Amino acid sequence: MFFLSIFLPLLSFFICVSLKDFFKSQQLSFISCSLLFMASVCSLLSLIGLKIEEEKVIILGNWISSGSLDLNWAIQLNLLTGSMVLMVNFVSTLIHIYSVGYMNKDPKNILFMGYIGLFTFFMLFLVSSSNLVQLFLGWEGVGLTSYLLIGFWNYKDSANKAALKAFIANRVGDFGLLLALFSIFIIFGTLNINEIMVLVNSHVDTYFEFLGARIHAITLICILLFVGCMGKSAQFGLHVWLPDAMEGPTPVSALIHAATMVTAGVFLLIIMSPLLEASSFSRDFILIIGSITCLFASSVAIFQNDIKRIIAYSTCSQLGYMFMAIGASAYSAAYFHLLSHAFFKALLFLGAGCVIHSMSDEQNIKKMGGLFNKIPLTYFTMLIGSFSLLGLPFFSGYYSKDIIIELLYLSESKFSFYFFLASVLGVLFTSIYSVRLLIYVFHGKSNSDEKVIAHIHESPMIMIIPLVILSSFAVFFGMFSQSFFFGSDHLDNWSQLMHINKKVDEFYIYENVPTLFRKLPLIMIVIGSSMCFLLYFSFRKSVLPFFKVNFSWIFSFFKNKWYIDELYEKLILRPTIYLGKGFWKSIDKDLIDNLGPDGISRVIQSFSLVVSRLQSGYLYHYVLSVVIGLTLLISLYNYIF
Amino acid sequence: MLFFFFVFSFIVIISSLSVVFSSNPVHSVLFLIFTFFNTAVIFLLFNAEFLAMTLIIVYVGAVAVLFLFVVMMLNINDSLMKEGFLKYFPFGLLLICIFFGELYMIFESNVFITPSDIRISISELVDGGMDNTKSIGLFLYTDYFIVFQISGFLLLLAMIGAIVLAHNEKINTRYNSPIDQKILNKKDVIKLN
Amino acid sequence: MEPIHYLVLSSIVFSIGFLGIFINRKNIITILMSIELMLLSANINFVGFSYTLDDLSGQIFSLFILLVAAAEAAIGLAILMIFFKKSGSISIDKISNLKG
Repeated sequence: MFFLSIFLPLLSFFICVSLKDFFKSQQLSFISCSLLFMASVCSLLSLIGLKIEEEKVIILGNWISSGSLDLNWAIQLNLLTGSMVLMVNFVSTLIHIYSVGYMNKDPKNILFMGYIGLFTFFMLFLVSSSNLVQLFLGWEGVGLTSYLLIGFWNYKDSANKAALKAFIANRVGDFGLLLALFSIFIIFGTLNINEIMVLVNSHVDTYFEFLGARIHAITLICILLFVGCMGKSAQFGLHVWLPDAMEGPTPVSALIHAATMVTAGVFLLIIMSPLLEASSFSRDFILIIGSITCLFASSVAIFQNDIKRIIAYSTCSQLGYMFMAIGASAYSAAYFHLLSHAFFKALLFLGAGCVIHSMSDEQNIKKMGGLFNKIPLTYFTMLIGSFSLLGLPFFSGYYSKDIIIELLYLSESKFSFYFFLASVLGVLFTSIYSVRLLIYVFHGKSNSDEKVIAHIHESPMIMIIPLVILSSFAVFFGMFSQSFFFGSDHLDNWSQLMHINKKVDEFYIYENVPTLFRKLPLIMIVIGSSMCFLLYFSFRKSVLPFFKVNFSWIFSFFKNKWYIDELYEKLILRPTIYLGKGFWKSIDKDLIDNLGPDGISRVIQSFSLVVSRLQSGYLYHYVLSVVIGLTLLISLYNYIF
Repeated sequence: MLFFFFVFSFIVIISSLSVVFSSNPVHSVLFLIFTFFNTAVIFLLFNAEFLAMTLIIVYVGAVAVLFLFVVMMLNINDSLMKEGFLKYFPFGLLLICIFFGELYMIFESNVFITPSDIRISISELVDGGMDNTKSIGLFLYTDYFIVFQISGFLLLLAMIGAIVLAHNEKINTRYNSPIDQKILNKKDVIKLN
Repeated sequence: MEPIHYLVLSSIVFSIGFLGIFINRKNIITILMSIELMLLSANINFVGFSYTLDDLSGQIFSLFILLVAAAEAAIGLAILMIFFKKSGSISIDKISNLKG
């Protein structure tokens, strides 16, 4: 059953790719969607059939057996992987259905369905693997499919560039992950996740000696793992690819760059949580990077005009929250936020896709406006998604995000209060950009061409239905499953799978966090949205131009994403290009080529010119040389005997 | 016996020198035939009657006559034949003398003349009443059967090869090359309705 | 008849063949005949050793040499004919297509 839920998407990929010339696109889309639906049902059934503390490992065969390294192809079913697989399959199914409508006019739509299926398979493979190498395979697989899907519209130059950028930024992170795997193998002698968890306590005091420096082994491993996660989950420093990745089709952004792939880093750190618990430094590091990402992305999102980029930066900042939760040892909270974020962020992206669809492929929010009565269903679902993202009470984001903020207040770190403040500030920014997005897109007067306005229409039902389903999840998921992640009754369920902090408990929080601080995010939301309303409706003519004139450097600073891309270009790209050119000219061409291949060929050429003169072509010369050779041979024989 | 060997050896050497040095190719061929005859006599001295007869039949009857035919067919201008002869002769003679001298040094040492253990003894065959031809036939058709077959095949090959090489392709035959047919263009062809 | 006798005879004939190849620059037929002489010298050796060592295989091998020599002469003469047809001469000085 569980096996089917993982391999049915792969089957979908093979069917789509191999049969795309023989069947109509509707038939194949239907097959693909139904396969994904079956996979979701299978994963739901296998999760229901699972006893709470049970763990099943299905070994598919031997993979690598070399020395002390012994790896199996195995998929692992427990509460964590089962629920993650269910989430991925579920979201993927909805997005498959949505894509049928969204990619309707595209000539390559079946290939698109196949790629999404392949992506889903790799993601499930990553999630369910029982050893780190298999996880790494899935990790690279999702990177590959992400590359393929970002560059899906490969006639666009920007799409190709974005795909390359994503791939290269991910390479940097993957290198860190690879180094982490190597050092794990050196320290623990195994790559099986469960075995590593058992062995953590016996290696707490292991150190690497390197050039006289002593490095705590587990800290090093954790930092390297986090570098891998930074690449995949777009944390500050390696985040540059995520906004550009929005060049891909919108369903891809929803599935890969919001709901599933970018959360792979969070998932990896959650399953490696016992390792992180052994190193407080790496947790602090994660906290710092997470909070920077959170603030950075949400502040940049305020100043963007592209609807998809705004949501992309929002994803980035929400991932920052998840990493902050991990840094504060609240792994179950991070996982909870991962799941609820998957639903409302997929919802937001799909809603944005509907908006783009109805606006005739317009992505600039400044050119939209007044859409709320023209596409009411989309408006309604976007509203739900945004409320969930903001964390208004009783929406799922409220439960998952607020608990992270409260746990940050309680965390053991010395600077926990500053991290708490940063997260609250993040909420403020989030509310500003969300409300700004909603106002610009759906309210006010329309700023687009009359042609476009005339063409505005509600999306077809096949695109609306996934939205409705997702919005119901965005509303109710938090409310109903909150007690499953928190509360002393259920925390023991997770304790075998991840490190459980006893503070992740409603009553503990209720007693130890002051009421003002618990209400602070809500206050921030009110402040942020009212600021936005005032700026847009009342002071639009007076205040904004004043700021734009006098504080233009602030605007350009945020508009240009803190000049991170430019910094990279100055610091890394330019020197690399110069260095490469220098090496190419001086070392490769002048030194190696000149002395190596070219030099050797020159010597051979001149030598063989000399030798070829011996080859006169006259028979008697050859005979003469035979006779001379024979004579010499016989004299040698005489000399020896 | 030894006397006859010396006499015929002397004739062989003289006539083979004449093969090399005579200016007329026809004379060369005739001297070659003479050399073969004398060698056949030397073979007879070595009790190899069958081989002696084969030498005369194969070489004199077939090969040398073939040479003679070719020489006559080619109509060679023999005044130019010995041009530059004296230029190379002294050096060649010197080289050959050194070569021969070294060979002679090896012959004197007698290092390689040791009878094999698995030989086919001629004297036993003669005691058993077998003559030379009979015993060669006996072993050629039994122990050396495969080699004999292969050599027959080799002769066949040589025959076919010689025919193919010397075959004259007639110009006025209505032959059409397959390659020409292949590269023919449709529009270049005259169309008959 | 001691081995030294026929060995000397055969080596003299062989050297003469060599010399013939070497000094004849205008005539391929003479070169072919020189090759026949060299093969003949090998035959003499075989038959002589067959006599000395009381072994029949020398004569059988000699038979095969005769056979190969006949085949070689036939092919060589055919090539010679074609060459003469193409170039109108059988001078070795004209054949230097292998020149490097």
